[in-house]
Amino acid sequence: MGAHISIPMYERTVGQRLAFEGERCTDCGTVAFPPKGACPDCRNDEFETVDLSGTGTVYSHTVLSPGGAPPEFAGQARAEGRYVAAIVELDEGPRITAQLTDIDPETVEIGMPVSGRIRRIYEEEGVVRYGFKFGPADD
Amino acid sequence: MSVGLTDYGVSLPTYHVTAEVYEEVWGRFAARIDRKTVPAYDEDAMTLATAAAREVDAADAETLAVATTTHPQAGTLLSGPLSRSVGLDGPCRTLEFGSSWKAGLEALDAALSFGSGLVVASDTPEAPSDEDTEHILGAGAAAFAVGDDDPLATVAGSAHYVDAYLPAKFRDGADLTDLSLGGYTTEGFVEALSAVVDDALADAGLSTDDIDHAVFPQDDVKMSWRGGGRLGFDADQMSAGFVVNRMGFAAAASPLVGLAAALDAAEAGAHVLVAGYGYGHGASAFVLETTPAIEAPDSDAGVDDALDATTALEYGEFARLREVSR
Repeated sequence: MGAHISIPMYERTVGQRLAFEGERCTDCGTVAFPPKGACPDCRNDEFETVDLSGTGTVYSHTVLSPGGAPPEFAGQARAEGRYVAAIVELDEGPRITAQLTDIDPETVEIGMPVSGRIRRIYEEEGVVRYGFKFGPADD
Repeated sequence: MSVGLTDYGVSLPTYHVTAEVYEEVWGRFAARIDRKTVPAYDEDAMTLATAAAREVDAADAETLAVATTTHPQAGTLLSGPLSRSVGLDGPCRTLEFGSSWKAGLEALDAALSFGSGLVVASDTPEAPSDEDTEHILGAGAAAFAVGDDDPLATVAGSAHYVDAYLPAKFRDGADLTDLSLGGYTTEGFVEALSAVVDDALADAGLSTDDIDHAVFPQDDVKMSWRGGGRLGFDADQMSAGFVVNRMGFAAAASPLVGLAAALDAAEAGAHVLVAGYGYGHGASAFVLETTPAIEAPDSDAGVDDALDATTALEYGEFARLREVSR
């Protein structure tokens, strides 16, 4: 296993893994996802929780061949071959890293609309870790 | 206002394999269907459940009734991650069913009994790849919102049945075992099904001819089709909900995906019968009557399109995916 994420660490971020729970700065309104210690724009440290739409566009992407997959995704790459890792710009502004799924890597384009969906990310310590991947946005 | 189904949706896995692909490798395809669905490496009963539930408007549900016989994290609540992912976390009752393939009907029964809730049935049954039993096994999920706010379909009748009848099919660990007892299996199936179908029809004050769509358990195509025939239903009544032809058998989820397909096909004022069977054995059946709301353009779950949208795998790709995933 590559980057070890313990069960307690995972749990603390479950609102960002199973739902799109972000934070909005009470001062300037900037939305942070995942939540930050201070507003990325004005450094204010007070936020309100907001449910984000879970939709956005592809900001950038790359294709990982099975040999280049980190250990936690080696099984996935062995099962289904290469996959796409992308930076997705959410409609509310934040950019996050996630896999793309339900899409041919050849057809991914910068700017294409995508939406989040829950998938198995990997299993560690016998516990299935679920989280978001992004696929082509619903019509 | 009477209680019924206010919304519904389905989710199917990413892939499918066809009968031809099996025939090339094994010389025969034992399932008598065109193709069956296959989950991707990152899909399981929980992810399919989430995807189906997200198709349904059930934001105010106070009961979450979940059915699966292939829980990815045995011994825990699938309702936990599911509730968080659909925004039902917090003060919500959860009920989970999964002893037999009747579990989907049990979850539906529970939500209808409480008068409201979100029902989700999701399953990814498995068996060893060198056994004929494996050929029909697919995967899928269906979700139904239950309530009394402008339902698409209301309950006209229901019935239940249980008795001792030694099972011809059961799970051994993760894998399904089928003793292939032929007529013995069919007799038990027809006995339990006929009991609940007769009683549910009587409860609704209807006869078999009044049923527009009938959905039966689909773990065996010949048994289901002929069993339905023995109960007095013809092909016109059974076709719409016979999703096994393209989905394969998705265990506890099958009758509810079939129900969703039947509701897609139903017009206002139609009678839809759905029945579930559990080996061991027992059955439940519901007769639903659709309302004018069923004809609203956005009420359709698009089951037919979802069944067409899966991506074909060659047998080698399927075998690799299975080998790494299991």
